Amino acid sequence: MNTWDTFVTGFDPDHLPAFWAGVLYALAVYLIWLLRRPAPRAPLPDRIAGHLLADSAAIHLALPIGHHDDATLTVLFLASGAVYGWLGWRAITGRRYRVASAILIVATLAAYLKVVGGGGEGADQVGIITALLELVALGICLTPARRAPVRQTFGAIAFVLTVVVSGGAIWATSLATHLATESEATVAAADDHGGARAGVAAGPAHDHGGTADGHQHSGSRAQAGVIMRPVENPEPTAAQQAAAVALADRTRASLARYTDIRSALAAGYRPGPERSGLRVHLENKAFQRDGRILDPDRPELLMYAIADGRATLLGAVFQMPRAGEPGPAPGGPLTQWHAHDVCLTLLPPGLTVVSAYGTCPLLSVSVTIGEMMHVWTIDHPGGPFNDDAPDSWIRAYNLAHGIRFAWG
Amino acid sequence: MNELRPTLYVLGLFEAGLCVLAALGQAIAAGTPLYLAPGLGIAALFIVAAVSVPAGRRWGLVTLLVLDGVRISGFLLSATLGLLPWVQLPVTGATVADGLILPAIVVTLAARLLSATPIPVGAVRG
Repeated sequence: MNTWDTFVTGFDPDHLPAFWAGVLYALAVYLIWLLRRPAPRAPLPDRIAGHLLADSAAIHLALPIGHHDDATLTVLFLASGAVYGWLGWRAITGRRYRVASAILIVATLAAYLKVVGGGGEGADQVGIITALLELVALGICLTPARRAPVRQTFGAIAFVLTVVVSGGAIWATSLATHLATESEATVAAADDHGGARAGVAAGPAHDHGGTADGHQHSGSRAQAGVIMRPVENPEPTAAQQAAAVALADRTRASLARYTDIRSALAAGYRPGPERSGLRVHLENKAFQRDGRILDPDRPELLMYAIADGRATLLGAVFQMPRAGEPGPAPGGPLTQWHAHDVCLTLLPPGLTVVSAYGTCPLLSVSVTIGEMMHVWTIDHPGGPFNDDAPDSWIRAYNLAHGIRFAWG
Repeated sequence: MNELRPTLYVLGLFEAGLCVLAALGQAIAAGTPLYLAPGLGIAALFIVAAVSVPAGRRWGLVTLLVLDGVRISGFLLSATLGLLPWVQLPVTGATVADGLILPAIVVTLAARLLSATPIPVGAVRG
């Protein structure tokens, strides 16, 4: 996906009416201010909080347009929108609003985290941006209007903690949902007793394409660490299934020569900074530059488990040479590519993932690397195209099947 | 002009929260709590600077100006690196809001307040 596609994919289509309602409100306020310059009826921080609350009201009121939820949820969205609007109006016109707004915002954030954490829907960019607007409003609500050092200190601590906890919860639930989907696919396929082929036949390794009601439940739209390309049709055709099986079989046959890690090293594969672990990536610079894409004979990276004095070839990682360029998917939704957005940090030097609020540490740059696809050559119970497996499973497999190895 | 100070105070605290979150991610990715230290240090700097703004301290404004200048530079550097074929700039709605719009607002507010805040007499003499 290119930069624009990455940006657009972050928005759940069901939430777009709400997003545009929020944008339109902000534009309307700006236009009115430009044309009429109305006399302020409240101090600036209260007016800012008021407009943030009113913006959140516009978003909540427009959510039912795209959501098509049941009557109860629709009424709840409309009711919370109405209360946000009322409190926003009170703030803008200089009336009391702080305590009620703080309670409403905390309750709304808690409800949102409960829905996201419970798998009701994935966190998307509209939900995250709305949370950001509400958090800034909460910060103003928690700042006393008059000088009150004790209240101000507690308010500041509560505010910073709320930012960290809510962001951490969105981040954790997005990643947990991603991992849970992996585990479910693994367990479901293992229950089929069919191993890798059953994994291909069973369908996509994980449901990033959404459900019949158009909702994406996997949390991939948070785009915090992993960027999944959306799948147009989650059901593979017979031809796509056959192509996926053929790709997995060809890769497994071709990589049999690298079962012993020493053969891979002799062929030019080299580890990065991480030389031991359960998913050590060995890259081949020559294959990365040869311009050949999804070639089972020349995978850009190999993945090994190197632990407990043993090494096991887990599979290949195919990588696109240019970031943003979509990889070919002969197996349709079965052969789904993904990219990682990472922060390269200077102090201390290292690598981390972009947080749910889209931030990196201060002295760092954030980039997305080229799309990748994993093809497991061992008998992954979830099928050969899963992009991960549980640590415990890999460790047990390595102990049972690994070849004795230690770096010289 | 004094009405801008509480707003800047809240935004500074908000950025401190974002720093703590990013530091947590870095520590988890690196697998060691040692990586928390720089992020927490910068978060503390944001808090101290933010708290000093309502009290009318120039150094608080300068600190916020520098910190957010670095944040904007990081975004622009990421965008420049994104022109290379091997990587691209990861842009999400939250990235634009937190990585560009928020620091731009803080820089603008801090610069306006700085221009309106008189330099202490002692500092001029010293």
